[in-house]
Amino acid sequence: MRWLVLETAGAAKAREVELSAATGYPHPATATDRVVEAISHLDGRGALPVPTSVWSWAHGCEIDLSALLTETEAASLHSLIEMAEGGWFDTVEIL
Amino acid sequence: MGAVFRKHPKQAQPVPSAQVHTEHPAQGFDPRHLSKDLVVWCRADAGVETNGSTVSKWRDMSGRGHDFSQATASSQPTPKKAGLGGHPEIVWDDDRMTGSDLYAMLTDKGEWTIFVVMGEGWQDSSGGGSGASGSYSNSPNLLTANPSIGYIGICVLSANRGGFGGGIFNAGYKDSIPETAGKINQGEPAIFALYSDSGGIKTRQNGVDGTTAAAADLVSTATTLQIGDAADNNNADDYYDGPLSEAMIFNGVLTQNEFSIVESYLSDRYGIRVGH
Repeated sequence: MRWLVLETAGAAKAREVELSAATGYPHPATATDRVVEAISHLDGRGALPVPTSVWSWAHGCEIDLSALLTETEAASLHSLIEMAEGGWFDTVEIL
Repeated sequence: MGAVFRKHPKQAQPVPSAQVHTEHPAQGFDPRHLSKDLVVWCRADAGVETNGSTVSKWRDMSGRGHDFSQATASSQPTPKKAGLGGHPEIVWDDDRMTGSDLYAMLTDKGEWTIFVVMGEGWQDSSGGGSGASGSYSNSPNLLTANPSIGYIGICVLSANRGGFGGGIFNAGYKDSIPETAGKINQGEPAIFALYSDSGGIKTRQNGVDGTTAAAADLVSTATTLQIGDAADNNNADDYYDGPLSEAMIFNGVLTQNEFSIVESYLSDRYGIRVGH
């Protein structure tokens, strides 16, 4: 799984809808609303997870979602470690 | 004359059930007929609805309608046809499913019982948490119930701590983990129970009692059940990576005999040796 970071949470949500439509979601027969779910961060930016294998009703098979991104987007993907180091996930002290 | 444990009408066994190969493995057993109401019962061989190649809904077979679902394709777990004991299982890998309100299901917030069955291949935690404190963050969360942080949880312990732990949060963490005799290695199948009664918060792993934490009621914020991830969804280490075969939640604490009956049923069904 890699991550696509966008300038605003709204942009991430809009890209979520576009990619979902391109892969056949929402799909009423399975109650699956979206292909991925955007997350936002405190600084207002948004991020989309980009799985390498996810079911697409539009393609009838599992696809690498990065194949649907623009060249610029695909070149900008971040690893999970990069996202964690960038502060996208909370770190909580374990008791 | 020694005690005789009657497990089956045809079978009187003075030896531990785990050492006996039963001719009829728990045929006719129905957990809905025990002394406490079964409020969640999910089995990987029943009620699994798929979205293409992944699971979008896992139906509750208890009859209460406490189903689990996931509306995001990339967060749906994957069904596997031949898992533990030759039965189907559901495999979790950075996935999660959301269920019903646990707090609302329970009559006495201090008396409840949860069973889960994990198949082969689950991954140890890279974090250091245990029980509910592990469910707060940084440990793979098998099952939690809360809107934000770890008010109740079953999670994978960090390496060498022996498998799974569980607990609740109420004025501090009340966690239970395996004692030495009950520890298992990474990836080994497990029948795990987390339960609460007047004596405390306790666990059993493959029939062996774990440590006991102080008794406490579940807090009212222990609400939405979630499988596979911490409810806060805020840490990459929160995800459970491994298979899940079956899950049960009872509205009350089972008797010791009923614990043995449920564990024997699960042991026979999935081929997991239990220590009683």
